[in-house]
Amino acid sequence: MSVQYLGQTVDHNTEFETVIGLEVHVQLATDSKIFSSAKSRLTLGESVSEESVNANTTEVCAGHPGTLPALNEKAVDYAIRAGLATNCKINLKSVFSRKHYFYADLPKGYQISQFDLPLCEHGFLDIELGEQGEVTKKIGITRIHMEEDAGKSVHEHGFSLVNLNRAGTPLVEVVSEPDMRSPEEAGAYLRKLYAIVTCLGICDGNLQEGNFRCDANVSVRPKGVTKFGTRAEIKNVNSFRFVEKAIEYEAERQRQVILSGDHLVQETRLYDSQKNQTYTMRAKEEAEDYRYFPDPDLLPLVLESSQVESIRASLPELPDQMRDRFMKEYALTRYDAGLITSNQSIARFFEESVSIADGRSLAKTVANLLIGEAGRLLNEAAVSIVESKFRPEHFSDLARLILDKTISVTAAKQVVIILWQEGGEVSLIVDREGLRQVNDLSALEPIIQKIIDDNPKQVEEFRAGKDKVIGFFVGQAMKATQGKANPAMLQELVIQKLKG
Amino acid sequence: MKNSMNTIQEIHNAFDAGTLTPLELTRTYFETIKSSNHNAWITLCEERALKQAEELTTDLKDKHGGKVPREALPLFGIPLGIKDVLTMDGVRTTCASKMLDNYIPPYTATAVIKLEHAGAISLGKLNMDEFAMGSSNENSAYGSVLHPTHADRVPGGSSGGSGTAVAAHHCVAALGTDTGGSIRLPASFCGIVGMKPTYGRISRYGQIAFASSLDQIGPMAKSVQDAALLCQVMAGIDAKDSTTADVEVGDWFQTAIKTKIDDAKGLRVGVPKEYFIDGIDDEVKNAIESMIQKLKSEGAEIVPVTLPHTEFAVSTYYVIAVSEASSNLSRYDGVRFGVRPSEAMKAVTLVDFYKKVRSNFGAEVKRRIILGTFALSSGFYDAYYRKAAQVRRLMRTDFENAFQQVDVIVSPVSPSTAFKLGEKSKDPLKMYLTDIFTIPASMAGLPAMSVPVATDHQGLSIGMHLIAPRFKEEILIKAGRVVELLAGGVK
Amino acid sequence: MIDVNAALIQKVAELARLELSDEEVQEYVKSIGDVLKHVEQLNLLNTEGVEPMNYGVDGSLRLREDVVQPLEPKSDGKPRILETAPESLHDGFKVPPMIG
Repeated sequence: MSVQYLGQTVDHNTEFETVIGLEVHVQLATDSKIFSSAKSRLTLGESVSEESVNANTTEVCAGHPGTLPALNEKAVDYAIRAGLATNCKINLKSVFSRKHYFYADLPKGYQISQFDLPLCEHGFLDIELGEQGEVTKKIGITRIHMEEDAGKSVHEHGFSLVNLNRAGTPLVEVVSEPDMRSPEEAGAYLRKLYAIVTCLGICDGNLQEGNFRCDANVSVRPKGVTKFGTRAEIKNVNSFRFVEKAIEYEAERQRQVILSGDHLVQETRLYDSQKNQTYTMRAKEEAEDYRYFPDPDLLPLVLESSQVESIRASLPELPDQMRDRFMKEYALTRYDAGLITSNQSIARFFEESVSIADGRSLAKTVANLLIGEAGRLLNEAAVSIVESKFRPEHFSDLARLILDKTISVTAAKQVVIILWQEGGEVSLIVDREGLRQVNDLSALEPIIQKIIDDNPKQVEEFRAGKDKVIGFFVGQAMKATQGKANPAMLQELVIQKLKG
Repeated sequence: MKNSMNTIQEIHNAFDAGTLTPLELTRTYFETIKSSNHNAWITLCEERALKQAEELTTDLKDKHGGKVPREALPLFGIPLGIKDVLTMDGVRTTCASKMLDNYIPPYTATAVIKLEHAGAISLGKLNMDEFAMGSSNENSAYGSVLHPTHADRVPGGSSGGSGTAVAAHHCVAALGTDTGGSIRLPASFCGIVGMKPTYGRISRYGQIAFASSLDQIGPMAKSVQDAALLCQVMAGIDAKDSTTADVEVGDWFQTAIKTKIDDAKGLRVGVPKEYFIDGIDDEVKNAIESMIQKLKSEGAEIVPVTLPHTEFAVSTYYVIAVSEASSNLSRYDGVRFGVRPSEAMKAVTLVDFYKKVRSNFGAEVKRRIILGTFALSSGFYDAYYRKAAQVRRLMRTDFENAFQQVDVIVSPVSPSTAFKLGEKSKDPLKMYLTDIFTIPASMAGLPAMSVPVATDHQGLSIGMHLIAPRFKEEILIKAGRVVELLAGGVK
Repeated sequence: MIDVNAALIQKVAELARLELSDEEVQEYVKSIGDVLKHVEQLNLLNTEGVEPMNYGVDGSLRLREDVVQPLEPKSDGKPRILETAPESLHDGFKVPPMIG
């Protein structure tokens, strides 16, 4: 049986490509909400679950009768920054509309959003692809508009409870062109956009609390076809890795549906990260009629071009510029510089670390520690480096100790873990844990000799030409010295002894 | 009678003379209210009002040496009625709807705050058409308001409680709100002065919305000078309402006081031919024309003008107002406030729940929500909402053209005097056409006023409608005062 | 011209989350039909190129300073916004199940 899709005959040998467009909701880090003076932003270190339910809610964000919206100037400033940093045209006139739907967490029965005339349009982002980020691809940004967030609810058995603390939080929605062709590209785009908004300081970047949420529009088509396939919108995924996995799953699911001869429907889907599956939320036919119309309570937002230009002039160094500078200034590889600058707080932390004492020579080592062990710990705990116990001097101290061979890289990793758990001073920890590297030949010699004496079989193997067993001896010696031996020195000594 | 004095000035003079105190005056009003059967009030805040009055009475003696501090507190000790569309912190605010029967807002409308800061006393909340939707005050969940002097007639709507309360001496003055004529029509029917200022003059914060681009708060009073004073106190920019305009507020009270009949000289008065059509009661037509003649004989220049899109006003208004209303009334979902009927508690889905809650709306409100939802819905938006918004622009341009030649435009407020209860309530379209002369000024956002000029053979009041250019309240008040004087009103 | 029939009224009522009795539907078919028939007159006007008037006043949006001004809690520390809640639990607004 032959199957047709987008006017082409397709089968299992057909090469498909995935077409991805992303809609990202970025929560703006203003103190008060977009249209009300209720507290909007979490205090540093606070989580949504710790806030008292409905405490950060006024009559305006609860949509009480008679209330009116008053637009927060900081939210406008931040939205303009988002537009400028993504190469958008800033519309000097933009309009707020009402988008109607009934839902218990939407207080007014409509959401105030920009529809016909958004604040920013026609931008783009460069993303880096390939093993070392050597390939650059331009991803178009259709528009960035301002809107208010809805509330949150918890669902119990037989009822739900609505919390409006988040209702009215300012958002910008960044809508990309369908320019991405793989989960990796989508991931790279999200990471770049994330790096930009956190670098601008317009978003706190707390993924767990939904500061940066993504809807992915995914479709597939036989390679070479220019028409778009039937797309699914995957809603509200808030981890970059999950977005990638959700897209990967969804593209394969669509391919299977097409190949089976079934009909794909345009629909909204949700991603279950535990099962790594997407599932139907609602089909397009059930879509609401939103009845958009310009909000009569909010006159058009009109800006002077001089206002926009003064904001442009005040933009900070953006991640791409910073990456290029790090490559030049600190001799980092493009890849490492890209990783460091993809997270604003880490980039700033890195520079502080390096600036303590004589920076440049330490830079590469500091970078490795930050990207490596420290990065892993921060990621796993989903904690920002500024909220952690890490201090810039920790890393400059560690780098210096590594470079002058006082400690091994392995020992340094151990110190990082201890610093992560309890903080403290590097030199004290190194001493306390006895991590100073044994650089003394006379101390290592008897240890190695004993290992050689205890393992005659492996010695035989070495003599028979199996160089691999060197690793065995080095490992044993490291164990015996609790990792304190200088590995290069150890290796040399083992070979010398075995040969001798 | 203590409560039949005509102006705030007279009351203040009595306070100064020591013949009356704010507390006595307030008590007298409550007595009158309680002995009345007009159904003008929904909620009285007697305890709150008496406390205010008591404090002011003490202050008058202790702080102000027996003299009313007119500069600092221009409404010192003046008992007012507040239309129940305006929120007051801790005071039940129903908007005459079952939906809000138990609603006690956590905040106060800016206009009410300003009045109270100027020394006014709020007696309570006045009856009205549900969500301000109506022209006869027959759409209230709390029953119709009766006309102040003719019990079988309507007081006009939607600020019918305000109209009757002022005319029947329940308060010195009252707040109304006007979306398509809701202040001016009841003022005309009840024989008092009603003023709708320019859209953007008075903050709408705390005014429960009917149609956001049209709604305005305004005073209903026994004299032009009192209306001017209240308006002046309430006007001005408010950070909480971004549609309030940054335009200087004049000393309109002084303007009203100083205006003489002589000021008719040189006043260019526009008479739009479209407002003197068939279907107007002869008595109404004659009364207005006779006032125009008086103005002319006092030296005013009478200029025929044309407002060619007048015949489209009702259509345009009903599309725009109901569209905005359908949106504004989406928030009544029984989640955060309002009445949740017992059937709603049994709902197992949210959709079902909403439907049960929203059955609290009265028939006229539901009709307008359906109309408005339709006009905004996919596929009809351009033909209805957008089209109406375009015609609205044309209507506004009509006025701009007319005001090239004249200072003020005059017309009847309504084609008839107060009609009978039940006379039009079965025919919504006929009811909507009652507002034909008041709607155009609303559409264009213009300041307008109703001033009583005569009574018909049954003793029912006839109001003259005056319209001025945007933010020209000064001219409106001056012209209104001239008309008031010519009609033999407050001296 | 739009045909205002029961199905249209029902569909729009559904969109507006209104439940109507058969009598109400019949009444609205008539009264809304009358109003929309009257509104048809707008089609006599050529409005090509006319900028819709979507606001009551001219000008541009005035902005608010980013300052937090909370609604003061009640004396027992409970959020004041809950005072008007028809039903609440654990300080949340209680509603029928939103999902499932």
